[in-house]
Parts: sequence; C-alpha cells; structure tokens
Amino acid sequence: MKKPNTFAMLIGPPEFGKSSLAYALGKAELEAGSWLFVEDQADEFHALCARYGSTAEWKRAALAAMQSDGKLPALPRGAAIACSDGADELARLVLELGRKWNQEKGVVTTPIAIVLNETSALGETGATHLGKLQGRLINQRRHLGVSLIYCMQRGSQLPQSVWDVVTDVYLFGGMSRKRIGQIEDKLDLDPGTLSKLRQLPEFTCAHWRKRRKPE
Amino acid sequence: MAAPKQLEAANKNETPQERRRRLNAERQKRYRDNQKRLEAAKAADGATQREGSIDVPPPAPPPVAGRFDLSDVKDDSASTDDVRARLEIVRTQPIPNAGDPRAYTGHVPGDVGEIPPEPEEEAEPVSQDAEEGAAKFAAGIGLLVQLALSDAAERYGGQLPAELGAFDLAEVQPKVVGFVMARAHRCAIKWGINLNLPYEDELVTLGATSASVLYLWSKWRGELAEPAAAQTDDNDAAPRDTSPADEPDETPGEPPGFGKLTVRARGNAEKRRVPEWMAGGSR
Repeated sequence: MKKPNTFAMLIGPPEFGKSSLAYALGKAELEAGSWLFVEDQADEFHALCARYGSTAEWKRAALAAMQSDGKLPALPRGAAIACSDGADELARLVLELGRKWNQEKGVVTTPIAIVLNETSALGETGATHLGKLQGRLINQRRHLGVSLIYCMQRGSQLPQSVWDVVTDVYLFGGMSRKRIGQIEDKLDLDPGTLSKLRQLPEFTCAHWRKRRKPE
Repeated sequence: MAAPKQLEAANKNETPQERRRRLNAERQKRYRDNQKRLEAAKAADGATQREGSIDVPPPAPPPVAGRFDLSDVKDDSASTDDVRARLEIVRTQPIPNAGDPRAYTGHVPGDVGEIPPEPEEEAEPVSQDAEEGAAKFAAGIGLLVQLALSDAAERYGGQLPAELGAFDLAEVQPKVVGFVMARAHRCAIKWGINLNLPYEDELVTLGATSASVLYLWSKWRGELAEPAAAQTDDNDAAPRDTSPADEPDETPGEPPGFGKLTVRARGNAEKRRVPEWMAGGSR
C-alpha cells in the first residue's frame, strides 16, 4: 500500500463551509479504507463517526473489540473524540497508532487520517513555533501512514515551516484583503493571484494543490 | 574526459605555470557549461524550489458535487498560468444530519496488530511551573527585544545607541516595554523566526498588543490566579497583524491577581498604573 502524503489545510471564516468540506474529505478517507480520528468539539461528525469522550475511552473500546488475531471488525473506523487537551491529545494517540500499525512494520498497512476542526486547539503550536507533537506528526506522516486535514480561520495560525510541506490548500471566500495577502505570501504566489476569493459564495472554495515533479 | 593519469602523461612536458593555466581554463569551462545547463533546465520546466519531491501521488480528490475550472469565476486580477494549472474551484454540500458510523466498520487490509494500552491517570509533564515558564518567557522576550531593536534601526536608517541594547525590563516604562515586545513579535511572524514562546497562539489571537504581551508576562510569573482575556490596547501606534474583525468585542474587567495595571482604551481617560513587580524593579 502506498504511503499517504496528504496534508490538507482548509482556511476561511466561520459559516463558509470549512466543516462541510472537512466532513467530505473525512468521508472520502473512510471510503478509501482509512481509520479516521476527528477532534470534534462541535459534534459535527456524529453521522460519520462514533463519538468518544476521550482517547482513553477509544482505547478501552478498541481493546474490548479486538480479536485474538489483531483484527477489529466490530469497531467503527471513524472516531469523533471530544479531546479535553485539544489536538495534542489526539496527536499523541495517532502517533502511537501510526508507530505500532505502520512505522514499526516498515510498510503502511493501516492508513490513518486525522481531522482537526479548529487549529486554535493546537496546544503549544502557534504562529512562530511548531509544538513537538505536531512537528512529529507533520514531518513523519508518510512513515506513520497518516493524512492530515486541518481547518483554520487564519493562515497566520501556523508557522511557515508547516506551509512549506502542505500538499492541498482549500481557500474559502469572505476573507479580508490582508488575510488573502498573507496566504499568497505563505504559498509563494504572485500578489493578486487569490483576489478572486473575495467573490466566492458559501460552500465554494478554491483548491490549491502542490505540483508534483514531472517524472 | 580523459583519466587524470592519461592527461598527466600527455602533458608531462609542460611547465608548472602552463599546467596551472590549463587547469584553470578547464575549471572555468566546466563551470560555464554547468551554469548553461542549469539555466536551460530552469527555463524548460519553470519549476520552483517550493515544489518539493513528492514521489507518492496524493489520494483521489473527494467526491464533491461539481468541479469547475477557475475561469468559471469572474475576476479582474492577474493570475499566472502556473497557478491556474493547480488552482480550481470546488463546491461541497452541507453536513448531513443522518448517517451511520457503522457503515465504515471493520479492518483494512493488514491487521491493526496492537492497541496501545490505556494511559495511566497522571498529568503530562508540561511546563506549568511559574518559575520555569517565566524563564522560558524571558528568553523569548530577550529575542523579541533584539528583533524590535533591529527593526527600529532598519526603519530609521541607522544603528541605535549602544546603551539601548541593554534592555532591563524592570527599569523601563511598561508601555514602552509592551510596545517594543508587541512590535518585535510582529517582526518575528513576518520574518518567520521561531520564538518558542509559550502561549504563542494566545499572543496571536489577542493581537500582540502591549496589554496582551504584559498580561502574558504576568501570567508566566505566576501573578495571575486564573487565565483571563486581556483588554486590547488601542493606543498602540504600531500597525496590527490581526484585522479588527478577529479581535474579541468583549473588554472584560481587570484580570484577577494582575495587580493594578489597567489599560486605557481609546477615548477612555482611565489612568494607567504600573503593577508592583514592574514598579519595584524585581523580576
């Protein structure tokens, strides 16, 4: 199985459809066979994922459902967790699972996807600093077999080092010229390239995809 | 290209000066050929340094309702073909109310193998100790001050006096300190400098104003009983990084345990007072 490499960022003001797109992307990951973990304080993923109060609760459910051969046929692959410690708690769980399921084997047999519905809960990570847990998750995601889907309201919430490794950016309308300028700067685009974003209605976004090297 | 020994054999009659001249000429020719080759390659594919080396194709795009070319949207701004090729419009549907998580039950190819055990009931080692946090914050503040001074020198076209380089926070007026630190934080964001500052996201959210920086400084000194939102300082003359729409509209009262520091909002004649730790000169 090929190593997942998706790191998608969804950027836009509230009520423009970020969560809806995150839901669609999460659903696509489930349909592709991944395990989906969502930091879901707003309880928007209840139709797609089983709900847990914490990562410890998910572990107890998984251990109870696990068969002797290491299979989990009875456990829903989507888990919406209302983490009390924000995204760091979920990152800790996914790092453990990614290491045991994929990295230690040397091959990605069980792809994992993580959805952060609001990156303001990223703990130590901020505009100029990447927290240790998030740094490991982002930099080792291919070997851990993890795809990342982050929703945020401002491009400045994450440092430039994160923007350098992102593969997909979904940009919604309703942003100010200053915000759009910051995103153009982060993505190394010519000034004015994204000015059309101001005309986009709700549930519509521009999808920027990192170009791959031609083979 | 001939092997070095063959070259040596062919040129064994040349003097050291002639040999040196020949080797230099060959080196310069190799360099010029290399440069031409690089420029030709760059012109051919227009690749940039940011494109990286992704050798795994990303997963298939999500099944959203409709996918349109960028020309679908009216715009009157310039856009390069390079960007147009990797920028397209996507439309999605609202989140449905009904669904069944058990529709996606089961394992994927390959056993999951092992579930990590349930974590023990103990707190994670985070730096909540006020003294450790204050030391960490002070280190970040030191860098902030240096950035602010460098930025000021750049803006005003010269070197600042040497005595300003020694910045003792306890001896400078709090408004000046807050202004300098707020300005320096904005410089750090602009220049992409890693400050490793605790409560970084709070600083960005609060707008990196004088009052917010001073509030966080006191928080890390352990002088705040509970975390509370700081008031924004509208008298900060430096340009802001956050738009006014992002700032909280509420202006809560004085945070508990913050001493007697208050912030003068625009149009408000309330006088600013200095907290004890600033007035006393102790850190």
